[in-house]
Amino acid sequence: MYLALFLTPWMVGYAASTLLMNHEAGRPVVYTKENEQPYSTTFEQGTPPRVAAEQILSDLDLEGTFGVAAPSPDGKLVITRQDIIAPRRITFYPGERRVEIERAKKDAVGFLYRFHRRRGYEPPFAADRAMAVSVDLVIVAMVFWALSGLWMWWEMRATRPWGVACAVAGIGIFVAFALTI
Amino acid sequence: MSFLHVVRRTHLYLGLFLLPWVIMFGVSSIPLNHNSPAAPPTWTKVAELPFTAAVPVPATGSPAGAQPGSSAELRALGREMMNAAHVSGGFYVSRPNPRQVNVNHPNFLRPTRIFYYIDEQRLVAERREFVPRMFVTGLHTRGGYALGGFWDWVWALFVDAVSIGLLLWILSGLIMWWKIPGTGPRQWGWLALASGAACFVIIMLRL
Repeated sequence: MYLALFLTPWMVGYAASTLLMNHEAGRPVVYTKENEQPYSTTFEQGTPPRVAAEQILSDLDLEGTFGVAAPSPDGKLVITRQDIIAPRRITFYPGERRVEIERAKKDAVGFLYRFHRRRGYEPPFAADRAMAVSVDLVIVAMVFWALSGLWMWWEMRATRPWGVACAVAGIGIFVAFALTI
Repeated sequence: MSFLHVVRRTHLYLGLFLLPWVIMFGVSSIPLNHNSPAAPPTWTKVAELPFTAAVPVPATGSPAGAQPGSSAELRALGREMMNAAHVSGGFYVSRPNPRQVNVNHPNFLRPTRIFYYIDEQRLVAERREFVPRMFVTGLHTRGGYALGGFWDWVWALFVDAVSIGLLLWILSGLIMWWKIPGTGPRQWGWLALASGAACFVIIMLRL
């Protein structure tokens, strides 16, 4: 019970975001310009985009988890700095020696999509690690609730017949789906 | 029959019915959260045949990279490709380049992909080997009502049911917690609820 109360925000988030994703409610991210500034750092030909992007983010004081697309023929580099509330898009124009920083418009649907998809221990940042740990905690909790729920149900003799009917129906339908579609 | 009795029974029977989905969504999150590089799966050719079909033409002035033709036209072509390869059910369709149309027919055990090589007027269908990890993650990520297969639609209905079920379990759980007599459970419950909310807000603001 106390674990469930602790994890209430995560479970509400996962339930709401699953509903939205199942109904394909996501929309393209809309960015608005936040800042534009000169940027004089030059990168040698063949510098991996991730290395260049990391340097740019560090210089702009925007370190954090990011994604970067392959540079365009003119060397333009587009970096997406992940942020669960409002991600940023940083575009580096090497020919013009400037960077443009845009920020995504805040929207609840986009937040829930990003929340649902944020996971993994790869990013070397504390917040990402904390999120990954919380995802693991949710996993353990879900399995624990399922097993403890089964045990609590079995202890209530009066509910056994209907409980067996519900469990058998659920398992049967699930297995049929898993094996056929 | 009291309100609390109804809440408890709904919590219980809904939980027992949707138990496999709850365990599946929990267990399948493990490979997603602990991603490790894996060898690409093997696809086996199951059909190769001559195939000709009208391909949707890009609308005049459509922006670069836009999907050629309307999605309805592309889906109609996808259905033709599915029929030609003798595959039934739901599918995704895409046109990655002007010379090719791809169809992906999801299947938890062994999905099929179909390529239409427009210039060569040739259709190739391939089936993936069974990969336990992909089977489990496929159960997690499959959803939506747009695939076009009846049973895919019913699966999406169950995904909605689990989501609504989760919200009902949260709500009924809160009610059951609140109805526990004595001040101890309530105080500890508030502590758990508040500390969870605080941790959540801190992580979200830092992510």
